[in-house]
Amino acid sequence: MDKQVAEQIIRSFVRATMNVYNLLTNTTLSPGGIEKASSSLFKTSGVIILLSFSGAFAGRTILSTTEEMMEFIHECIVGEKPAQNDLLVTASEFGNMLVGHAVTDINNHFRGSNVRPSPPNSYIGENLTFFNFKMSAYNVVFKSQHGDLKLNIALKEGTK
Amino acid sequence: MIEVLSEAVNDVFETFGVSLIYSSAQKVEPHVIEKRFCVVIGVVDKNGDGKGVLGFEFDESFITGLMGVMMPGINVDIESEMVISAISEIANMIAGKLLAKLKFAGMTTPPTGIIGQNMKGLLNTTYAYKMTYNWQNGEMAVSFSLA
Repeated sequence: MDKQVAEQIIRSFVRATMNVYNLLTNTTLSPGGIEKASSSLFKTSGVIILLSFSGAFAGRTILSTTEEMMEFIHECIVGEKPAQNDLLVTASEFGNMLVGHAVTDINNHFRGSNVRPSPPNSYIGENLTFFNFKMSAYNVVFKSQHGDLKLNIALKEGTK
Repeated sequence: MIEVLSEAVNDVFETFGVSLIYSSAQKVEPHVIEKRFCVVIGVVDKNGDGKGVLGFEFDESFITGLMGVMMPGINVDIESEMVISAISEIANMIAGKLLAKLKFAGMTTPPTGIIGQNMKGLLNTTYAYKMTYNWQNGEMAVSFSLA
C-alpha cells in the first residue's frame, strides 16, 4: 500500500477514536506516536473491538482496552453499571461509531475508493492473539485518566 | 441460507478429501463465538447496504486432524502462524464460495485468525445461522449473519 495512503488511513482511525471517545465520555484521549508493528500478530487481554473494512483499501483495526475502561464508557452512555454481556454490546456500539467516522473520512480523502466497514466484533478474554497475514500493522497507544487504549491498524499489502 | 452455507463448506473441504459429518444447524441470536480457535471474515456489499460476518470455530482435535491431511507426516504446533494461516485460508475459500453461490455482489474483508482463553466474542447483534460439523473426534462450527 502507498505510504501516504497508509498514513491517511491511520490518521483517520486515530482522529475517529479521539472524537468518538470525547463525544461519548466528555473526556479526552492523549495519543502517543505511531509505531510500525514488528509483525501483524497482536497479543492482548481484556476487551477488544475488531473493525474490518474492504474496498480500494482493505484492512482491520483492533482497539484493545481494559474492562474498567469499557465499564466507564458504558456508564457514560447508559448511566448505570454494566453486566458482563453489556460490555460486549457497548464495545460493538463504540466500534460502530468509530469505524463509521473513520471510513467516512477515508472516503472523503480518496473519492471513489468505496471503502465499506463490516459489522464490528467485540471480544472479552485472556491471552488473545489476533493473526492477519500479508498485512502491515501499526500501533498507537492512547492514555486517559481511566487507563490506556491500544489501537493496532493492519493494512492489506498489495491494495492501491 | 443454511443449505447454501452447507454446500460452500462441503465443497471446500471435499477439495482436501475431508468428508465432514453434519451435526446440527440452528438460528442463534446474537451472533457469538466461544471456541479457542476462530477465524472471522466480514462481508460488505458494494453499496454499503448489506453487511455481515462469517465466523469459524474449531476445537484442537479438528485442527490436528486437518493438519494431518494438509501436511501429512509433519508435526505442527497448532498455535503456530502456519496453522492459523492454513485455517484462515480455508475460511477465505468458504467465504468466496458462499458469496458466489448467493450471487452476492460484494466483497470480503481480510480474514482474522484468533486464539484465546476463556474467550467470548460478539460478531454481530443480529441473528446468525450456525452449522456444526464433526470430524475425527473434533468439531467445527460455521456461522453467518447478514443484515
